[in-house]
Amino acid sequence: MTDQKTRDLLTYLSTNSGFFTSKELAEVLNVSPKTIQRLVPKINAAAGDLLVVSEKGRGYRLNYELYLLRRDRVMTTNDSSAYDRQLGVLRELLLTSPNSVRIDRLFDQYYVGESVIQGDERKIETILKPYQLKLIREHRFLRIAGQEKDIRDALMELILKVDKESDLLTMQAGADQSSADVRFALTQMTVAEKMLKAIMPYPYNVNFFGHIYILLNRTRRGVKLSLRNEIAGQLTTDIAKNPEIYSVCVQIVTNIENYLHATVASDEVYYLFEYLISSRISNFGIESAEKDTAMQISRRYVELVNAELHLSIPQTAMVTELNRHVLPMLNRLKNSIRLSNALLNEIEMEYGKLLAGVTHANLVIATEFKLPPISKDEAGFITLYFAKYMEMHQDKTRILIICTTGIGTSELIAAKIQKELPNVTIVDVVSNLNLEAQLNRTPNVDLLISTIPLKNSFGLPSVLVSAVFTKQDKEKVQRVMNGD
Amino acid sequence: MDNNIFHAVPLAPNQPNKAEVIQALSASLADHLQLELPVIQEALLARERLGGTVLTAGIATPHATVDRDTPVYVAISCLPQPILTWRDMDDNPIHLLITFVVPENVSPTAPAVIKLKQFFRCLAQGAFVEMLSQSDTETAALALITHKLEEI
Repeated sequence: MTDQKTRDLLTYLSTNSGFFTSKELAEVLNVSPKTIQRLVPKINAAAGDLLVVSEKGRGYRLNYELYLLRRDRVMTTNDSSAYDRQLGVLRELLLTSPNSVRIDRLFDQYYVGESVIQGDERKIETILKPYQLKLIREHRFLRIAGQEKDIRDALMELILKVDKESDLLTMQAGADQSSADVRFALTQMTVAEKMLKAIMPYPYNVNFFGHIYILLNRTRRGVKLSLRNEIAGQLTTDIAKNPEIYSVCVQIVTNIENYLHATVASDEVYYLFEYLISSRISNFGIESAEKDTAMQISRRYVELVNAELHLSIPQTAMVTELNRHVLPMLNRLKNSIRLSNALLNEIEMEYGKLLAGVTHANLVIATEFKLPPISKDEAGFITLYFAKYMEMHQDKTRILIICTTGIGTSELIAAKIQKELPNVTIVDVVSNLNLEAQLNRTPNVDLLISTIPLKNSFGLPSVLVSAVFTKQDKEKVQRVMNGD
Repeated sequence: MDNNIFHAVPLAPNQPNKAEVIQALSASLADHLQLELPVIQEALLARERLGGTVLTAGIATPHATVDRDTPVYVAISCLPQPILTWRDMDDNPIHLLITFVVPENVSPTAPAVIKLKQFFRCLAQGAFVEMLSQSDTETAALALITHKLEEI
């Protein structure tokens, strides 16, 4: 049975379009904002997808199309108390990983029988699947197997509820209601920023916060991770080059020991250091043996994106700024640290072509510089550097879109062109009957794109396209824009 | 004033080809809009002669600009049997018609025009087009369209 709160929330969102903040929803449903924040991941887990979408600064909205498809599944399977129990067990397993935990200790407080436990195990396996993690049962013990970075992702999203949309300001605002551990971890962010006299911007701050929180809880459980042999030597070099950052890590470890009255495993200071040098810290130059490589990679990005998208962005204009992202990115790749990009969907919609170009460049660069695969999230960040340059510098082709009404298919085409051709500005969308008048009003048009043959193109180049603006149409327009 | 520009306009089953579909559509629209049949029919055919109005997923968007005082009107028609001889950009037979009629001198800022523009911008989204295409009835298609426009 689905609990009433889930039904109420979904019913409200399905009958009211737009975004609602957790506060607004809480008032409507007569619950606390925290309840809404807890309910949404449960609903999405039951749906197996983002049924309730959250966007930073806007709130929550229903993915209505998905709702139509998955409504029955969510309405019939989401048992709130069972989900809370499964999440509690999962939290313990994730924080104890790679160690095993006795099954009776995990389920002791819930007073449930073997069949419920087995059902919970199957559910936990499903929850873990998107994170490439596996639940292993060995006799009367359970443990989670998988890579450390995936365990961290699961902990951040499932337990801490830190997802791509989270920001530290929201978490700070809610810290009074949060656990002492959350407040302590947030305070350590301030400690780091004060010692470095610098700011750690979003989303690096969220990543670092998550790391400290996980460290606290693992220390409490006596979990010790050994430093990977392959990075120990490199870390020594990086620490020698960045003594201030290392001092911050030592201070935070001391603070954690005082807070927990327990000893933090000796290698944890190095893990903290890995996180900090993998972050972008405003007004603070991270020193690295990779500096020259980072500069070469930044130059290569500009070369590859220029070639792929037929652009002519000068190296001097972009490399220095891009390098501020690439240098910590190299550290993230080396240390298997993921950085979520909250804007990825928007970047894809707004700069789809650029993102595709950067994604392709990522493949080439990873091969040439023998790097691990560079994620789409990273591609999104890099795309923004190119987009910023293009917005500021590039002269865009000014186009006029024409159909018989100026209302129908030309609007469809305008939407597609905006998405797929970042180098154009759509001056207007008009009817063929009004073309001459429009050109008199806005004479500086470079190109006409029309769904019907034009009797007179007034001396301007024109391209006839289909009503759906196919790939072939796009290529035709690009050829004309390139003067081919 | 009725702000709703979208209307269910079911057509009789078994239209064998595009010409007969346009003829049946014209008759329905003339009836709904109280216009002369030849005005609508000739405007729809004139547009088709300029080039196809098909999209993807079995959807076509015939349209007519008419020299008459008439509201912006969008007719949604689900054809019980796809027209095998009228194919979309991906070679699917047409089974959903989104037909619109606009008066020649309509203001580009009229609320009905803005709504129609918003709708056509939504047709640039593949997922929405697919959902729309799967509508079995005019009512289902109208519900989807209404909800989509409310999201904007």
